[in-house]
Order: sequence, then structure tokens, then C-alpha cells
Amino acid sequence: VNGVEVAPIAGATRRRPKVRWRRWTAILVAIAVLAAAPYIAPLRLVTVLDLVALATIGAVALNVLSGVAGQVSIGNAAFMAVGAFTTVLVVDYAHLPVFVAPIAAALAGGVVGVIVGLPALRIKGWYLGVSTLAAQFIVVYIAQQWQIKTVGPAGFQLPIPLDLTGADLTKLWYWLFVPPAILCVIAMRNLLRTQLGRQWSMIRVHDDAAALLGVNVARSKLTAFTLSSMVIAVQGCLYAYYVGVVTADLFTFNLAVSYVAMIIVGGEGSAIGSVLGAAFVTAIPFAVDQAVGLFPQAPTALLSDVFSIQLLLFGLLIVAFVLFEPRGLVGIGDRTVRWWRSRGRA
Amino acid sequence: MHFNALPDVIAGSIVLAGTYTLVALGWVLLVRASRLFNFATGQFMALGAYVTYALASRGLNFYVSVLAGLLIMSGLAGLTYRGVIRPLVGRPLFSAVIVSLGLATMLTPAMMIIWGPVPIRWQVPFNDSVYHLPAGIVLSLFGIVTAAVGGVFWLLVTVFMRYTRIGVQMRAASENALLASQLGIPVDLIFVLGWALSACAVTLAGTAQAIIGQLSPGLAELGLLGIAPAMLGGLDSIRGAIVGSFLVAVIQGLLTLYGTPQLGEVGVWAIILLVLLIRPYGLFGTPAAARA
Repeated sequence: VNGVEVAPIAGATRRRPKVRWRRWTAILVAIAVLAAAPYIAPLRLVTVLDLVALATIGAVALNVLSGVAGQVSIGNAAFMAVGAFTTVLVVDYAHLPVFVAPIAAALAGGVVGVIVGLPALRIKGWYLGVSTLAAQFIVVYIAQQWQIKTVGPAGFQLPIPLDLTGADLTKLWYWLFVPPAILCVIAMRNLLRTQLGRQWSMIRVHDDAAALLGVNVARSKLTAFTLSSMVIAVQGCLYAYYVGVVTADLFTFNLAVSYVAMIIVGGEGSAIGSVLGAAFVTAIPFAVDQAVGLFPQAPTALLSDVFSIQLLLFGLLIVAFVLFEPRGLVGIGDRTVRWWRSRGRA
Repeated sequence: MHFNALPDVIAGSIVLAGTYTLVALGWVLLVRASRLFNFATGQFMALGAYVTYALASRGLNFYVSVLAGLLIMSGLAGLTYRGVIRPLVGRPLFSAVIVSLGLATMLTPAMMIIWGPVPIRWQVPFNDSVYHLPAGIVLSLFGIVTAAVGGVFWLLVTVFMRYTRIGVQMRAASENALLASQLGIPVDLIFVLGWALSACAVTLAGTAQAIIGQLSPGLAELGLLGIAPAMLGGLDSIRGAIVGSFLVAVIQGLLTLYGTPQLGEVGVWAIILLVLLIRPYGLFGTPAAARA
């Protein structure tokens, strides 16, 4: 019996250094590429990377809540607004140092997250989606009223406390957005392997069974809501600085839907999927612009419909991926890898 | 505030309640028939109005246009169910809801591209007239017709659900689809019928609102607000739809009068959040509906 047990372990230890070596090389190469990107890549691409990184933060947060814990949410725009307007409050009105802003945003996001998540303790599925929908309209209304009574349509100015312009600014955003985005992805991957992560998965699959097995369903759901909305609020804080002028109409229902599109397209419950989805969805407006630009003789009606075409694509992507590739781009990737390996074997 | 404000609120609420009854039925019928939630219901409302308008503006008789609009939208709803919702049976409910959200996202820009973003003033071949009711309430003919259509449709649905064979089968199918199908009920057909009825309800609502006010893709937002009366009444309760509609219409009317139209709409969303927090199955719904 002893020999049988020892053999595979011995094999594993023999193989392990090689795997580890390969993995570390990959990680180092990735870090090198990411660190060099803002200096090598064309500025336009760096701009896109900035936006992808920013979107990744929100996509990961939504994916933990919806993809892992199974709580439908269309509330990303609302939580971003909470973060952005908290930032305005902290910096423009309370005149506190900049680093307080994300902390305050996280706290405010957490509080709103608990309120919106409370119905989740009694209801399931799409009912919850409606509760986040309500949050969307209520939060935006409050923000609108505040804006009307103070600064009006011009919006709240939120200048960065540095003297940077153009390319330097694009690089600054890169260093501000990419590390938190990577942190979020790693945190999600690790969270999935913790007790909390497994409890969330169980709640998604069957919450009555989870409760029966001793999972505190109410607490786990609320934790998911709070954590997710805190991260999205911090993202909203970063976004507020990125746009520089905060207005209530930045945080539309369509923005919230675009995040749903990200996790559906990328892959529900997958950390890497969140990145892929964020990249895909972020690239759509650029792609549509390019495509329309290919037809200089296009009727002006088409040009004015660019925004409509983008939305149409968002919707189409959501429907198509749920129907035909429920595992998203990650699923396609997996299948491609498997096909490639099996081809090599045959 | 205003001395003659209350009659105006009452008049406005009656018309709005009629519209909400139709929209709320649009949401409730889906749950009643298939335990599903179609986020594109609001878009169906706007689309139904556009389709009816497109037919009427091409010289077709108004009543024929309405009838044709109902048929086309029923067909479209049935196709939607069969085409994109039915294939998801056995997958988490999440999927079907997200697909309907995707549909909703697609339909608004599609309508913008086809009919343009500028609201259309619909010239119907009738003259509106004004009626002075007791207590200073002033109602327009179109308003009265809207409220009446809402009431009659609600009555028809109630009778249909309670007394016809198909109506009872619909209730059975929503209660337990598997059991119902084993008893020989054509569950799939029943679900298609439920979706078609829902589309008819919102098409009528959209057409009425387009004639009273204006025709624009923004009608979808009113359709979305229709979740409030449906939820307040109970998402699986036909009776609740009419009660919820009156309550929501009155609250929205008061908030609009003493505040702004935006406050009225946000008040409706606040109602939704409160209902979800306090009594998720609404006034007349069954607790089971909230556990779908």
C-alpha cells in the first residue's frame, strides 16, 4: 500500500520544478510586456488598454456577484455613480486629500450595496435584477437633483492634482488602472478557491441545498453584494477622475447593460473571462467607428446611428452568446486548445 | 398648492391606471403562463405601437391596423419565445432573463434606426373631445377610451383565466409545467399563447399612449415602469394588476403634481424597491411567485 501511495507523489515532485519554471517564465514575460506596453505600443492602443483595464475592474466585480454567486444584477452604472459622486463630495466639497476618495467611495458603495442586496435575502433570480434596476434609476435621479441644485449641466469638475497632458496622461491612466485590474483578476481567482468562493458557487447552483449543508446563505449573498459594489464604486471613483467632469447622465442604463454583456461574452464565473469580455465590449465602439469610417460616402443617417449600432451589437452579442456559447470566449478558447491538442495527437 | 389640483390628479390617474393595467397585465401574463420575465416587454410596447402606426399611416383602416398590429405582435412574441427562450429550458433561469435583456437592448436602437429618434405625432382619424365630469374632473375622449380598453382587457383576461379550458390549463402549466405536461396539457403551446397575450396587452397600451401623447422609442420606459403595478399587485396575480395600477398611478400622479415628472417616475421605482424589501410577492400574489 505504501509503495502505491508514494509512487505518484514521487512522480509529481519530479515533474513539479519544470511546470513551476514554465509558469514563472510566463508570468515574468507577461509582467515585462505589460510594463513595456505603454512605452512601446501606439498611443491609440494604450488608450484602449486604459479603458479595458478600467472596465475589467467592474466586470470582475459583477462576475463575482452574478457569475459566481448567481445574483442577477444590472446595477453596475448605479454603483459606479455612487463611487463617482462620493469622490466629488470628498474632493470638491470636503477638500480631503485624493487618496481618501477611493476609500470613501468603497464605503459608500458598500452601504448602497447592502441596501440593494437586502431583497436578495428573500427573493431570487430575476426579482433581484429588478431591485438593481430600481437602484439604477433612484441613484441617477438623486445625482441629477444634486447636480441641478449645485453646478448645473456643466457637471462637477474633477481635475487630477498633477500637471500632465496628452501622452503622459494616457500613461498615467495605464499605471493607475492596470495594476488594480490585475489585482482584481488575481483576487477573483483566489476567492473562488476559498470557503466563501465555494459557498457562493453552491448558492448559485442550489441555494436551498447550500443552506442545508450549513452555508449561511443570507450572509454569503450580502457579502457578495457588498464586496462587488465596493469594488465597482472604487472603479467609479477612478472613472470620475478619468472623465474629469462628472455628470449624472454618464451613468446610463446602457452602461450597466454593457457590463452584463462583458461577463456573458467573456464567460460567466471566470476571472480571465472578465478580462476577455471587458476587452471585447470595450473594443466594439472603436470597431464600429472604424467600420463606419470605411464608408466615407455613407449616408449621414448611418453616421448618426453609430451609437444605435453599438447598442444593437451589445444586445445581439448577449443573445448570441447565451444561446450558442454559454461559457463565453473562455469556452471558445478551451475548445480551441482541446482541438489543437487532439489534432497534434492524431 | 393648486385649488383645482385634485380633480386633475384623479383624471390623470384614471388614464394612467388604464395604461398601467395593460402593461402590468403584460408582465403578469408572462409569469402566469411561463414563470418567466421578459425584460423586452417595454420594447414590445413601443414596437407594437410603431407597427400599428406603420400600418395605419399607410392608409389602412384604423381598427384593421390595430387588429393587424395585435396579430403581428402576437406572432413576434410567440416566435421570440420559441426561438430564443424555449431553447434555454433546463438552463438556469438567469439565462432566459439575460437573453430578454439582450433583446431589450437590441430593440430600442433597432426602432431608432427604422423610425428615427424623433417622436412622431400620430394623426388618428377621430376627433378628441373633452368631457366635464362632476367634481371638476375633466377627461378627454381618448383618455376615457384608454381607461376603458384597459378595463375591458383586464375583464376578458380574468374571465379567460378563470372559466375557459385553456385559461385553466395556463394556470396549471405555470404552477407545475412538468406535471401539467404529463396530464396532457400542451405546455409549449400554452406558453406561446401566454407570450402572445402579453404582447397584445402591451401593444394596446403602447398604441393608446402613442395616440394620447406621442410615439417614440421612449414608450419602452413606460413599459418598464409597468413592473411597479405588476409587482405591487403581485407578479402572478391578475386581480393585483388592476389594484396595483390604480395605486401606482395615483402615487405617480401626486408626485408629478407636487414635484416633477421625474420625481413621479423615481417614486415608482422606489415603490418597486419597497415592495421587494417588504412584501416581494405583492398584495395579491402567492409567496411562491417570489421564489421562482
